[in-house]
Amino acid sequence: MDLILLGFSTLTAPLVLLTLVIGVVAGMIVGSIPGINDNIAFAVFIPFSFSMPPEQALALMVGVYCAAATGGAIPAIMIKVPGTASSLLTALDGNAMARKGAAGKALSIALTSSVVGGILSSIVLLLFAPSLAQVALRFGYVENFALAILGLSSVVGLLRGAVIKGAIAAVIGLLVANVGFSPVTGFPRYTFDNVNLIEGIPFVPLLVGLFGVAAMLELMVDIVKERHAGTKPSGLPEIGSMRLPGKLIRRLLPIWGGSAAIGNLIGMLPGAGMLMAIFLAYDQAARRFRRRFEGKPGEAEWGEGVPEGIAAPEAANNAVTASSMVPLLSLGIPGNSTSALFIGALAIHGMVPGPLLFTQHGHIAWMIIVAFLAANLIMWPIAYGVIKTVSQTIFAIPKQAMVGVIALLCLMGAYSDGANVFNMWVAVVAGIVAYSMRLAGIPLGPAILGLVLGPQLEASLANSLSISQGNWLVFFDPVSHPISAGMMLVSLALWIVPMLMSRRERASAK
Amino acid sequence: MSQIISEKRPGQRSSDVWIGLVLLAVGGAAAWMASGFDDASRPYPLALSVLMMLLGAVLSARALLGGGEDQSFTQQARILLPAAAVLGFWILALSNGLGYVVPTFAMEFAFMWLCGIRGPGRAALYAGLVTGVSYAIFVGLLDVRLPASHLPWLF
Repeated sequence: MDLILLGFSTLTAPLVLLTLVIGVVAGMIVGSIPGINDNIAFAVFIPFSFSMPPEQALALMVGVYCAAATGGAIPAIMIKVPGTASSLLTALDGNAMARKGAAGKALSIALTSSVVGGILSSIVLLLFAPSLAQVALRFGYVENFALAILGLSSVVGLLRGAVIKGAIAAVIGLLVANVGFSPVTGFPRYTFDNVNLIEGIPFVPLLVGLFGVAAMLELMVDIVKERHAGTKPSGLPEIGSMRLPGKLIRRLLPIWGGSAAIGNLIGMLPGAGMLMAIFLAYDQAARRFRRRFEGKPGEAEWGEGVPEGIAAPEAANNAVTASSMVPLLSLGIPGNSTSALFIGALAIHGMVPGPLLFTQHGHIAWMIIVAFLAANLIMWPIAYGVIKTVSQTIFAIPKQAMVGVIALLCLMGAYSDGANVFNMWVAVVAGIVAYSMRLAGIPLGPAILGLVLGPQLEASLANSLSISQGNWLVFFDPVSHPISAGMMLVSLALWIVPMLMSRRERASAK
Repeated sequence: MSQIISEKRPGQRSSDVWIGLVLLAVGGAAAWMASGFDDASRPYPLALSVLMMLLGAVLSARALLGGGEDQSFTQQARILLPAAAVLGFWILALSNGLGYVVPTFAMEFAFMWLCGIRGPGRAALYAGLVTGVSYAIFVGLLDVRLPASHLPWLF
């Protein structure tokens, strides 16, 4: 309780609280701009945090992270263009409801669902992250190696049907993490005699490139394709009343609970990502709707403006935001790509996520946790204000004008990390590589995990083999290292089960 | 969203074959470089390089045996190359003393044009606005130290 109060008192310092509010407003506005996903929103705000004290910088980032996922629902409902990938499914029923003249109701369902999902997820973060960190503090080299393998396996294993490409991505990330001094001997590797690479590829520009620049290129390709196809945007629906009747709230309560539970579970799996959570939650909601409401008088068809179709993905996507911080804050493993950017935000202020964050920077770690709860609590009124004022103006900004703006923000953000032009080249090359990987069907998630976990993996492997006199079975020893043995077995299962499942699916399809 | 998986035409090799070959080459180069590292720093990157070569070979082999995907890179390349060139010229101009304002205005104008904003006046207006606001934010507000300029009177 004392620690929660410590986080609360750090957060309630006037300037810290103000930056959290600014973060929520900015995240909501940026998230509601079509084409700017939560990764870009986060990447462009990292440079703004350089000059701030760590408490303010991280409060800003928490606000942006939570609000961007919610803000994405606004254009999804109003113009059927998801502001963020997490609002992909919201666009279906949300826009259909808006076109029937109930845009206010659709927006209200989306916002309330996001807030409920976010609050439940913040409670999960509050309960699990510190206790998991306590366990992780007891980890030695052997357990750290097994943990890194588990982190990599969890994301590779979850890519059903694309295990080879997932493994390729992980190896790319691990190999790139080798650039710079060896963590074991200090020998410079893959530096090409470039002093900028001596300490490895600069992490913040790399992340800005992988997410921001790649997304900018993707947006540009989409715009050019739309131009060639001659697609024209349609007019905006009227917002109208945003009041939710009590009967509808009671009807959506089980959806909120179920979807938030799915979001929390998926969010805590390293690398599982938000999309998986929203698809699972959407599927569960569809089954429930078909069982209870489909075909009844006054009920729309699924996908044609059903409240559950908005509530489920929105509750799930915001449930992922805080729960994805559980593995990041407690174990140092990012739960999804956006939370990986948090590593950069913490690194700028000399902090490393993981169990030591709670001992070395306890007030910051607890402030981040409390800030997630606070951000979700203040989200509803802010979102309401943004919808009524700024959103209408935002939809008037031509998407074409956003490409250059995103490019500039990303590259200046990369440059600001040390005022080094080399960082800009890193961001551009990383962006092109990330976009090419996407085209080739090679997922980015495992590569990010490889980049983050690479140095830890090598150092803990070398030290484990050193203390065990080269015994590779040390990681599977159930007597002296039961946690490691357990994690290695789970890792094996994460590789084997999806392969068996896809083989069975192929066999049954034949 | 922008994944275009084209239908396989007779005689067309899957793009996975080429991706596998690229990985094989990159892995080979990384392994060759790793062979020059000291004894304690070598095994880990060498193992990863060999693993990359193996995965590349598996990907190519699988595609040759009828699996894999066909992905058209040429259409995207036609859009992406000009964008990469604009970014490259902007960085070069910035780092070679042309200041912030002129290169940034030119970059923004080029992106507006590439994305289909027609009418030089409209594109110049947007580009000017973005350049001015970004200068105010990064230099005025965030105090970012820009590369030295040979044209200080032009910012």
